[in-house]
Amino acid sequence: MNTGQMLALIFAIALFATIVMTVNYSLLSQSELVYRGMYITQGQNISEKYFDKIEAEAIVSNPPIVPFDFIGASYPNTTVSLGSVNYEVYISTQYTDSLGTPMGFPTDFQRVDIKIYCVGLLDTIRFNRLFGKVDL
Amino acid sequence: MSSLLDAIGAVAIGGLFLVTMFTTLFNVQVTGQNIGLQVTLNQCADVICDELDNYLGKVCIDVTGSGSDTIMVAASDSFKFCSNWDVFADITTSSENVIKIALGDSTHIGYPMEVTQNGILVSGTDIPLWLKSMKFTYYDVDENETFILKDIRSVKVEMEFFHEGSLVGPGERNINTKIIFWKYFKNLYP
Repeated sequence: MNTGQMLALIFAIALFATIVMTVNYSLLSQSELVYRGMYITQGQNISEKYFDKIEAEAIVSNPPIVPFDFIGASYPNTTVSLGSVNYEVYISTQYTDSLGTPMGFPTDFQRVDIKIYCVGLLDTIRFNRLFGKVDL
Repeated sequence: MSSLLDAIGAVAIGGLFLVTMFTTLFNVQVTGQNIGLQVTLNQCADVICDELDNYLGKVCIDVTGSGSDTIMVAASDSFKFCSNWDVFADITTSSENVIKIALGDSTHIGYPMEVTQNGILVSGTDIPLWLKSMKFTYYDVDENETFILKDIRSVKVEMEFFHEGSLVGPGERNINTKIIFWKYFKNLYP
């Protein structure tokens, strides 16, 4: 085998290896997207749980289990463990007007922001909902 | 002789190259199909969760009473409750209906999530959609697990879905999706 043939062989191997790696990377990316979708759905369900809980305990119940002005203090940041995955849940509240514009003083409306992060998500997903004080 | 050795070597290397290429192509196809199945399974899980979430949101609408008057059965695999909501007409009514959610009979494509109202099956809920398991866990107002009917205020639903993967023979495995959601029964709060 002369030098030219050797170079051609090396080039062919390099080309083939590149193609295989590209295909594998593409498949891995697709799998990651699918799993990321699952984590997002689960993260959404976790945020819905807290919105639902706040609605039940602070808005619907009479007398309220959690007073409206104590929503922020009553739902601290937490970690939800589902199987081997830990979802970090960050909850914060802010007084707003009826349109959701932040106000610097207590009003009858609070926006609850929930941020969720887990390793599989690769990013933080954010949800928020506006709650209004109801006199039952 | 030298040419013969060259030819044998070229055939061997070419053969290895072809085997590797076809194996890679096969794996790519199998993985692609499995990813497609996983996406379908995730969509399926999403649809069933939304449907179940809708039913659980109607627990004890306009029902007076407590304990077994409102929630009648709270088992880990079934849930039976009263509601003035009519599943068939999708409206609230003046009469109470008894709604039951439970797993149906096992099939090769999983369990159906059967929903009945006053013993009559809601159409479409007897179709199995790769549901492998469904587990209800009930909680009281303090988030403690309970089976006491009058204390139940929320439920955690764990659902697992499966589908046979494309790879057959040794190494065959099912594709699984697990999803969990919670529902607070606001009509049961004072």
